[in-house]
Amino acid sequence: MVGLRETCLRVVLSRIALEFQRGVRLLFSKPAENIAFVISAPLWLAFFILTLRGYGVVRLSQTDLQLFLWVAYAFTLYSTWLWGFGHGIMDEGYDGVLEYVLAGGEGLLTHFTGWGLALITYELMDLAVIAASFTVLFNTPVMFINPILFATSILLVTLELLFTSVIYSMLVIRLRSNWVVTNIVQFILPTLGGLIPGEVNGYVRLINRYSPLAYPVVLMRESALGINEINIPLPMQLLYSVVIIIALALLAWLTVTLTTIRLRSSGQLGLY
Amino acid sequence: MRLRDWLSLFWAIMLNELRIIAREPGGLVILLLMPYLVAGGMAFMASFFTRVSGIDFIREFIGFEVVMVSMIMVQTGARFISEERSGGRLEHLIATPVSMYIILFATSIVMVIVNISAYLVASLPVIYGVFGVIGLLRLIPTLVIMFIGLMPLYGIGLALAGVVVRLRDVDALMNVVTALLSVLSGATYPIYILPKWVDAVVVALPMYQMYQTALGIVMGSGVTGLIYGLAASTVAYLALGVFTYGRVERDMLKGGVK
Amino acid sequence: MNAVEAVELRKRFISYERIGLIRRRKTIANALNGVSLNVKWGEVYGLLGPNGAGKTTTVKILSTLLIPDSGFARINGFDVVKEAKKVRGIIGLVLYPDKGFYSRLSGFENLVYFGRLYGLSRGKAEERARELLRLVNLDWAANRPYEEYSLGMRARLSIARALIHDPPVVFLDEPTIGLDPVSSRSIRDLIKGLKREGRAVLLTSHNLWEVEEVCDRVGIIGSGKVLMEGSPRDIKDRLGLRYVIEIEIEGDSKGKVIRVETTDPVAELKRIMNEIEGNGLRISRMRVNEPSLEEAYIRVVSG
Repeated sequence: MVGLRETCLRVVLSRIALEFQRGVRLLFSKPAENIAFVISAPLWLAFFILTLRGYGVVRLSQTDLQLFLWVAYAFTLYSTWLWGFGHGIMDEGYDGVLEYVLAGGEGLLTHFTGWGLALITYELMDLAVIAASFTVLFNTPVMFINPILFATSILLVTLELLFTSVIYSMLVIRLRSNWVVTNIVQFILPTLGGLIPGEVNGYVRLINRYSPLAYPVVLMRESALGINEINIPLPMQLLYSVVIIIALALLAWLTVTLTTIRLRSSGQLGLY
Repeated sequence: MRLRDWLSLFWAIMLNELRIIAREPGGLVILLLMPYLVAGGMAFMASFFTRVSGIDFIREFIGFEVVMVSMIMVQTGARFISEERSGGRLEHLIATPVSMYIILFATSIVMVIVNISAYLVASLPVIYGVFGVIGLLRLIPTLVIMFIGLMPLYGIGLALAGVVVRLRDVDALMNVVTALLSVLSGATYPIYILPKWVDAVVVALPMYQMYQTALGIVMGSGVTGLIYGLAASTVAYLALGVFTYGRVERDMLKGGVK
Repeated sequence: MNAVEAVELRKRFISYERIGLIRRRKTIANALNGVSLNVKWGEVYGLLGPNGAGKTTTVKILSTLLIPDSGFARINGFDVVKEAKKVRGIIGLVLYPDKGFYSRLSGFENLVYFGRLYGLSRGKAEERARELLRLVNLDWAANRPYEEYSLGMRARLSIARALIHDPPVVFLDEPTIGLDPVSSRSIRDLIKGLKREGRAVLLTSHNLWEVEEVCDRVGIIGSGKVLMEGSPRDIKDRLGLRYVIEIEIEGDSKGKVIRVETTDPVAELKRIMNEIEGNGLRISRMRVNEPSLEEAYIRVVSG
């Protein structure tokens, strides 16, 4: 029995590794896209800061600048995951790739997990570009007060967004690409997900404190800046983050399973 | 063909495009909500550093509207050929007796009308809230300004279409173009903070001219001299777009639609 | 005057292949090396050839979508380069049977739109659209969005669009590719109908059985040139392909089967019949197997 479990685990891990390799290969198969991101990231940052100037914000403190950096990074993460990864899953469904994956005996969640983990490479590239842009634009070095916790939080954010995006895309598939769902979820998720720093005001701090989806992103900010945004001890935040990720993983598994069953019985796996 | 036949054909193309747009209501909703989300979000953030008045919000709201609809027009022009090509429709459109210029022009008019309508609907509550009924009356001439101002942006898009068609990765190019044009819009910040040479580029682009003219009308300070610049931009950028598209079509007929 | 006339069409494509990070290598593909053909009124002409032979390039030049490097082509007397607009008004075209429409519009709306582009009034376009949807057996799906159409339905809608403005000349580039036998059959019947109406049809296909069934003449294209042209029967005769005659005999040699290969089946059959009758035998069964166009095609294309 132990041997069988080990074999199954090895098979699953090797499948995930294969998907990871494929994911990385795909991500960097379009160098133009990567270059475009490197060029456009500082431009968007500049636009953002110029607009604040338009509202009459003349001076920003060091802390404010650092917070903006992390808001920008969190925004990039949400865009990459919801729009990039989430819509990528839908495109695979529409192109018939998911049918072939299933027919090959692989579980869809394994497929999504390996592919999603490959996005870590992209996230790190995003971080490097945004940090470099910030440093150049504002002559401000980026802070990483607790690098180990920061690295851990990146992994937690990745897992959280991976499973959230899988659930999101399964919902969209089930609801036949209903634009109401996509538009609402794309705005609500980042808001509940810790995009806005609690330093902004008390209501935001309240959302970040009580929304379990916010913990990994908030932890990332806290580890970089050396602050405690939501007044919960960091080890507890870490624990809550792990718990929510496990819950999201189970929910993702359930959603994928139910959606697959439903689509297979309605005959719409490749076209919806 | 008689004039009546031409108008009927033009109308048929516009109607077709309207139908396609109407079947994606999600996009229309985003068009209405986006300025509120972006301008509102930025106002929210700015409020922690400085006091944001209703006038400040209107100024930025109109600025974001201008940026948003401008980007849509540029993207529409730039992506038209590549989207029709990937949908397999481009060659069938070229193979009809109707000139592609007519199809492009009719399509652009529809996009302009849709964008202006979205601008109108989105702006109504905000303008009324700050200026009352007089604000709503002032909104009407700004629609004409937007109509004139959005056409050259389509021309800029068409001018980019040649590059877009050669690249297989359209999204990558358009991401950079959108970011660059947003920064160069001059619609959400005072342009005097920019270096002089960047300033000159911003003033030469139709977004700044459209924004300043529309803002002047809404604020009640009247039409500025920039309106002449806007008219000149319309002619210049549309001519550029037409000329560039002509070359693109000639290249496609010589080298094939790939 | 022929409906379609092409004389010494030449076309080459230049492309650049990336080697390494920056360097590029120029490659030149000679797509057409002097293609000449003509299609008569009331005729279906089949253009056959392996992938990359130049079939689609030829169709695109004739339909004004591509300018040849040299040579000329005329459709009903109008030059495809200098009088492109006139040519476009008199040709119908199927380039991709599975795409080329607006996904979110219905089949009916798509047809009406293209009808308007071809100069039909709104009322006339709608009338033609309904008529053609009935003809291609899509009237039941007229109001469904194109994105919901199956491959067979899309192929039929493509043909309907090609006919929306009632053109006298029709170009069909692989109209039955990927279709099931029933859908293919219905499209072949449509093509035969076009011929009966006196239209000139140029058809490209890889389905040689289908080409043999519907085409009056066939041009086999290879390496950018028309290698052989004529009716399917002519081509087989010119290549000296053999017919196979099988005869089963009754009488003393009951159950015996005679099998003869010949290039002149009529003469050979006469000779065999005389011999069998002369020997007092009777024929219980007889079959003449004509060489297939596929054999002819393979012979021509492989040199």
